[in-house]
Amino acid sequence: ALKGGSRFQVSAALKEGRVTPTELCQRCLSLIKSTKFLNAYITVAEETALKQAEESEKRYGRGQPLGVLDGIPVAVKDNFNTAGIETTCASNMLKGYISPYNATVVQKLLDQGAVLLGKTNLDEFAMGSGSTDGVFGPVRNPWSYSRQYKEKSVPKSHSEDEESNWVITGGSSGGSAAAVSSFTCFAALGSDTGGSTRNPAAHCGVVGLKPTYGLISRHGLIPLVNSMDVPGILTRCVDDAAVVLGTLAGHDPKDSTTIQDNFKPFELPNLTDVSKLSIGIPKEYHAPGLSSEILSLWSKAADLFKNAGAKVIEVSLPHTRYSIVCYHVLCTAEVASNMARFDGLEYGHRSDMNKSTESMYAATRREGFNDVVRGRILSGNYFLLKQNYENYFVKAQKVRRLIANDFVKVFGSGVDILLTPTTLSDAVPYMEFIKEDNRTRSAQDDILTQAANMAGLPAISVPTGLSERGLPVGLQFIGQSFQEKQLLTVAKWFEKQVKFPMIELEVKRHNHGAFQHQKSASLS
Amino acid sequence: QKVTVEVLDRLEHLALVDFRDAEGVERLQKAIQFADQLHEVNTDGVEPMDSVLEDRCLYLREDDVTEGNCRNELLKNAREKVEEYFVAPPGNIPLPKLEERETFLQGF
Repeated sequence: ALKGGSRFQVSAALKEGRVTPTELCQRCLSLIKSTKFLNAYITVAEETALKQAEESEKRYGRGQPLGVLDGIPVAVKDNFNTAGIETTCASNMLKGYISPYNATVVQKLLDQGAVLLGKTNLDEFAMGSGSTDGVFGPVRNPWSYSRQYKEKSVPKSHSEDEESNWVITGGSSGGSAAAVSSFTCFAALGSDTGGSTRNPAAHCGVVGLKPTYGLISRHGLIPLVNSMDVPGILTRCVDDAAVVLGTLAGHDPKDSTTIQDNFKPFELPNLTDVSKLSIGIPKEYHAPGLSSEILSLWSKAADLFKNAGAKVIEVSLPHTRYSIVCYHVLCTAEVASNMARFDGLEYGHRSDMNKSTESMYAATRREGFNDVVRGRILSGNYFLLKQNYENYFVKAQKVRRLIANDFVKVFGSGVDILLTPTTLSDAVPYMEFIKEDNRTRSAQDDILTQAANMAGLPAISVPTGLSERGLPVGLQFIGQSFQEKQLLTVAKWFEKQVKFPMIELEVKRHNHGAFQHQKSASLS
Repeated sequence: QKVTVEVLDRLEHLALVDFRDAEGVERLQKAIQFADQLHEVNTDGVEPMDSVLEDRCLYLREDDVTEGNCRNELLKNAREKVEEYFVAPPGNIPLPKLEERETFLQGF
């Protein structure tokens, strides 16, 4: 009965003693077990979670909770280091790797009393847009098992039905999105380099926030692209995202790319008057392949703001269509560099080959990385060759500046927030998704999210409506650097207007036959 | 413009990662083709951008030792070690040349 409530509501329940942290933890752990088929979790830290819940309970007993997050079950994407808990990045390279330290963001959550349930599944080393390319298998979108999706599916043969019809979560933070969407936790950490938090958020019907680059520490987040990576936040509502942001944001001496400005956590006001707001609609985001459904939803959203008195204008970000190409070059180049640390010597998988250091490294990496990772490393090295450096890497860095400047110009002209679609379509069935290779998919799927990473801007995907197939569609708001409060305030207003429906999950308990759906009542 | 075997070999050496099969090589070809679209953009007079935070100074802390003494923790994750050393196979031996290596590129 608690699962529908936002974290705020659950916090109130914890404070008032209507539910205890251990009860909450146990329910989430039990739900994780019954939704195992989603494959959202790689590691479930049952023992430590229960211990944390017990500690939290003692604090509530003394009337001294650490804060709003005390006792709240959370999940963390498996590319964040967690002390004592395996961190694999869904790769053979790190299977069995137990980190000696917590990523700063993980430590911050724990310091606030959050209960860490486990590590969530992803594409190997966060490379991908489907959460299908990790060594632990693909993540299934919980909406595949929703009444809303099932009643819209054309029934094929009974045996085929659920097994072949399930849809992807999007990626690469699919496990985290699925975990939040299926109520097994109240908030989850993802990462976002090209859209990896916003994409699965849109497909799974949850809120996905990409903060401004430099706001949240990357210390302990296994890096992909140092100049674009950010930790991402996935929650069921915008208010919750604001609270988690408040816990995580701020300078970290261990990450020198975090800005030193003082960060003040904020509560989101309940915006009623949007007449002073200027919303920009970038025309280039009407990208080829954008489904007519999403186009229509986007248009309706623009009208929503217009009818409420906001100024809604079409704007242009002329270099948008090059952002994917630019990303492709910069990403593979930084990946080539970042993946060099995996050589088997100090941690991770090590090959038995021992003829020479170089051959051991080569064999280790041959055995440890999947095709996608190896492909990006090789491409990156190609672009970084002396003969290619100017023409590809430096060229891409110049195009990056043009992309970032597009945004500067638009925001400088008086636009407050940009409104765009997050994805080109609703979630596709897994069987269809795997027909194209990872790079092609990523290039297609990241088109609408990538530019925000190029420019370092904050962006959020808010669940907006259901598609004709009964699957979630999200819309994206892009804000100005370090203006998360304004961004989230507008997102919250929008969330209130669209009233996105709750997922009606139908979870079968194999031992006990069909189980009634997890329809949840909020607590407020 | 196809990538030559020499360059492919060089990449395997630099990256210490293998192409594995024709698909791997094709993947690189496609990646280069895709990246070539960048040349459509006019970047005359544009400075390369390293970081979106280029207008700020990075944080530099005091040069004081504040952490450490965790040798055992760090050694725990290594497969081959002796006392306080990570053990590596003999160094200064270059990766075997194309003809002598087990690589898909041999038949290329």
